[in-house]
Formats: sequence, structure tokens, C-alpha cells
Amino acid sequence: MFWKLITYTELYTPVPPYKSTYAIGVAEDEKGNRVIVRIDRKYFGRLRTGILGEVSEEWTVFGKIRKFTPVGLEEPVKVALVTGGARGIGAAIALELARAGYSIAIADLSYDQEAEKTLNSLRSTGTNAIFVAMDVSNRESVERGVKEVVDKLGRLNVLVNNAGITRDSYLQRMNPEDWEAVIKVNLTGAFHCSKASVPYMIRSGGGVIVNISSIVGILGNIGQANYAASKAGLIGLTYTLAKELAPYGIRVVAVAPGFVKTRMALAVPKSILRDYIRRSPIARLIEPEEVAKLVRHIVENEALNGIVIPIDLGLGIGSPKA
Amino acid sequence: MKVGIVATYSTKYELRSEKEAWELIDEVVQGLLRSVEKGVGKGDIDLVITSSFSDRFGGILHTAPYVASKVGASKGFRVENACASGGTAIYLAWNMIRAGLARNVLIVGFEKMSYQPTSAEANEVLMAAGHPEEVVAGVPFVSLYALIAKAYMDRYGVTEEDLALVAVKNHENGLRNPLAAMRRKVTVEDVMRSPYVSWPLKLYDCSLVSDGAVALLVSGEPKKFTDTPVYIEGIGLAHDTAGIFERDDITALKAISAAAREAFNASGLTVRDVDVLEVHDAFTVSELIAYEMLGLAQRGEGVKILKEGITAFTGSKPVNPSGGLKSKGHPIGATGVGMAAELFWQLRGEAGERQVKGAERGLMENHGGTGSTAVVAIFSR
Repeated sequence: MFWKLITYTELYTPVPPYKSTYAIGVAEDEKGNRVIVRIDRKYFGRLRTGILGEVSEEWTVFGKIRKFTPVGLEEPVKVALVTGGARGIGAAIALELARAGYSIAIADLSYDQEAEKTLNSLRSTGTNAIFVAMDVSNRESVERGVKEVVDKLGRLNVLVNNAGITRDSYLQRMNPEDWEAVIKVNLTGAFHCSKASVPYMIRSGGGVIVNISSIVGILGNIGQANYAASKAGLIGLTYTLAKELAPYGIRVVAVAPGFVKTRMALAVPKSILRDYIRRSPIARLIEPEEVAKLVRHIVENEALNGIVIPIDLGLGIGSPKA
Repeated sequence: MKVGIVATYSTKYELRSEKEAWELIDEVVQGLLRSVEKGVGKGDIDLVITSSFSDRFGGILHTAPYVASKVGASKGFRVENACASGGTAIYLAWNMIRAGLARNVLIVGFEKMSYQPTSAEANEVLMAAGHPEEVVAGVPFVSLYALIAKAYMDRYGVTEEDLALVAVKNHENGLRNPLAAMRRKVTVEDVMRSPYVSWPLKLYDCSLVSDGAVALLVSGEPKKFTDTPVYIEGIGLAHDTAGIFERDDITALKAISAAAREAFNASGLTVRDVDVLEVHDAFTVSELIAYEMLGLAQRGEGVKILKEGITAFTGSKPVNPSGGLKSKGHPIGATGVGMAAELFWQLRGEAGERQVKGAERGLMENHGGTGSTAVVAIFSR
């Protein structure tokens, strides 16, 4: 027997002790009996007055509640935004999420040959993929870009804060401009992108934010005061947002890769890379695809929240995991 | 017997008062005693009724003896009827005086909602006033009203912009009220830009979690205390079902019309006879439905009379010249008492900048829960 939804609301502000967002409705059966029902937030944006569904009872610690499950609603394609997604780790993550069935937006400073190449490989998986011009260090640019993603792809479920730069030098030679530039892109960029994305995620019934930190944010690294500080900052941001956003169904997780085989890493002098490999239990660089697989797992595993996962070939063994 | 309000005193409503709940009570009791024009003698006040929703909004219970000892009364009690607690206190005072059980009743309504650290936690406390099945399902009041709003919008083609007009009107009124917690002009665009709390209701569709206290002296011998009392011509109290899902018509707040009927019958007056109204705009939609339940508008035409300016400050039936719960604030236990206080000032011509010209009769509508309890009273000078 189906029940008809006669009115409903989507609650975007979690109230303790339930600490969760969900939809609420009044459902009516054929005899005119009415019950108050809770509806999973994954249906946000898709409920309509008069739709039919099944009503089931569910035990909770607060008491027995009735749940309404709509019948015949189409599952929407989920959308992921990857900053710095035109190349390197970002491009690998975008491709992995495309294979997982996501529509993809890659964001970068400007559209270039690499962006075109990445877009082509994304589209070859059959996914809907777009490029969004975005300077993550600029709030207006981020707000515009995130809105463009939602306007073009319909929603936003996953944000990968991957955009990052390096300006390496020893502290005594590091000028304040290089310090600020790295912090602005790597850390403030993740703040802007998260802040702009969260309202859309709430209205999509939740989401996942993955921050691409670095093992140097945990261990520190000579010549990278700015970069290490920005990546350590991402870890604090991860912990805080994971606590703040969990009630909205938004999980926040950081990954902390060691040296990944990208142009950024290969720009490091070979002698330093060789020294790095000598210290690593597994003596090689990490492939971007390996980081991408971890990100996909984080996106799919709903129990992961508020943690930093090193992917470092064992470099940090015995070190605190931040 | 004519029962009248002879004095009142209100704190300013605030989003976060520096004062503790008992200090708010002290302020209004002292303020009221000072404001009684012919003075209050020892033993004059024979009954105290306090009105508050929860000790989680102020950390105190058993407030009647606290107040009684300050005014030399020997009897009293506290009432709780959710957001209609204040109205219920007045209903009891009127009936007890008329029944000969009391002569002069001091009512003190208060709430210190900022006792809870966040508005989310304040909403958790408020949620307990719902039907148990609604509470277990985790439905805060804003969601219950959102369910009502959605059904109302579906049936009558009302839009979110229409609801916003209630907030615009009441905030404009609140600008003229020094007691209002949020004296800020808002536009339809401001309301529409405010974040959704429980779609389709946004932050600016909601009244204010606030702190405040109001004292009211209700007397069976009003001329003993003032030459210009405000008489309670009639008052009614009624319930609707506790849960909105139990109602045939989710878009109606039937307790309001039932309470209004009782008040109209007792007074021999109708809504046509009143010059000024204070109604319970806990959410924008509730003011529109209240128009219809009180007979100011036909069903579904609340927005029409609002747009025609009938309920504007300068209209023929000004509603919420105080700014209402929306701009003045909604310290639960004080709210209904505060409505009566506003009408006391209006009918005595003491409302200053917000004075409705020539107001002779006023109506208050104070409801609790999702309109599961409503109190309607009619006053005259």
C-alpha cells in the first residue's frame, strides 16, 4: 500500500539531539489516515506534494519513527568539483571519480592544452565534464565558479580541494610574498571553496570534502616552511569542518601524500628526490592514480570523517599522524 | 463585573540579555509597582501568576512564591501552555477574578532563552511542545510551520515573497518600538536572501529567540488603581489537536477561531469593532493564517489584505504595531503578556511613535505550539 505525501519540508538546520538534516512530511493512506514521517535527506530537491511512497517503522534511540521512502524517483547523477583538476593529482582524481559515475567539474586558473586533454579523457568515460575558470585564492572567483558548476551540472556532492602551489626556499631566504602566495592558494583557497560549496551540499542532502594535504604537513620539510604550514593548516581545517558539518551529512577527510610523480614533484632537484627515496621504506615515488583511488574510497566509504590518511609508502612510520 | 488592566511594565526584549531570569523578574515587578498611578497597598495583590515555558530558559522554576514574596501576596502558581503561556495567565486571571477567587492578580511572564548557548539548543527545548510523535521524529517548530506553510502555499498559490511581506511590515513597525529586540528595516530581498532553515521557511520568516519579561496588574476593582484602566471585554482559550498530522485541514489554526468565538461572545464585539491587533507572528505564515481565523480575511486571502495595506500601521486594522514576535521578539513566557501590555499602551494613547491614532478597542491573539492552544482577548479603554 502506498502513502501520499500531502505536505513536506526540508530541514537544513540540524537540531540537537538528532544532529541531522532530513525532510519531514505528512503522509496519508487511502483511508485518509495521516502520519508524520521522516524522509532521508538524499531526496532533497526531489520531493513534491502528492508523490507516493512506502511508510516503514524504524527503531531509534529516541523512539520509533516512521520513514517515508518515495517510489519511482530517478536517482540523480552526482557531481564532483576538483580544484587544480587540469593536471597532476587533480586530473587523476577527476578521472577516477568519472569512472565512479560522477559528473565532473575541473577548476583551474585558465583553460589550456592540459585542461583540454583532461576534459577529453574525462568525456571518453562517457561522463559529463566541464572546465571552470577559478582562482581559488579569490573569493568572488570561487563563488562564481561554484555557482557555475551547480548551474551547469545541477548540484554539487563532492569537493576536492587539490589546487596547490610551491615556492620553496629556506626560511632565511623566503620572502613574505612567497609565504603569502602559498598560504593563499593552498589553505585560504580550500577555505573559500569549502565555504562556497557547503550551502549547495546542504541542499543536495550532504556531501564530501576531500582536502589534499601532504605528508610534509605532518612531518615538516626543509625548504618548505610555507608549503608545510599550508598543508598542516589543511589538517586543522579538516578536523574543524568535519565536526561542524557532520550534522548536515557532509564528511571532511584529508589525505597526506608523500612525493607524487607530478610536474610539481619533478621540479624538485634530483638530489633531494634521491635523498627522499633513500628515507622511504618503499623506494619510489607515488603515482597520481594511487592517490586518486584513495580519494574515491574516501568518497564512497561513509564511515570516514575527520581523519588524515597518509599515503606515503611508509615514510612517516613512527611519526604522529597529525 | 468589569475586569481591567491597571498597570504594566516590560523590559526591552533582547537577543541576549546581560540579566539573569530572576533579575528580569525583579525589574518588571519593581517597574510595575512604581507605575501604578494610585499606588498599591499592602495586601492589595492577592494572587500571582507567573508564565514561563521552561527552566532550561533561565534556570528557575517555582517562581510564583518568589514574586509573591516581593508584593506581599500569599497565593500563586506558574502556568505553561507553550507560547500561549502568557495568554493563558491572563485567561486564568480574568476567570478567577470573575469567579470571586481573586481580586487583584499580578502576572509576570518571562523567558531567558539565551540561557541556551545556541539557537539550535533553544529549538531543542522548544521542540518538546510538539506532539510526542513529532518530537520523536525530530521535528522542530520551524519545520512544523514549514509543513503548514507548504500546504498553505500549495492550496492558495501563496509565494515565498508573499510570506516575506509579513516580515517587512512587522520589522518596519518594530523600528518605532524602543522595546523591540531587532529594530532593523528588512526588504523582501533581504528575506529572500536569508538562508533556508526549513524550506520553504527562511531565517527571516522566523521570530526571534529572545530574552524579556513583562508584568501586568489585572484587577476586579480597576478604578482603585487608575482612572484610565484598559478593560478586558472578553477572552477565550481553545485547543486544537496536539499534532498537525491529526488535523483535517493542515492550513487552518482552528484553535484561534474557537478562542476568538469565545472572546467575541463574552464581549459582544467582533473583529470589525477593533482598531488595533497584536497577533502571534511566530512565523510569517502564522500571521496570515491568523487574519483568516480571526475573520479579518476570507480563507486564502490573508496575503490580499496584507498587500492592500489593511493590516499596515496606517491601515484600517493595524496588526502588530509593536513589531510583533518577528521584530519585537518572542521570549516565550512573556510574549502573550507583552501583547496585552502593548494594547494597554495603545488604548491609553501611550504608545509614542507607534501610537495607532484613536485606538479604542484592541485584540490580542497568542497561540502555542502549532496553534494547539490559542488565546484571544478583546480590550477596550
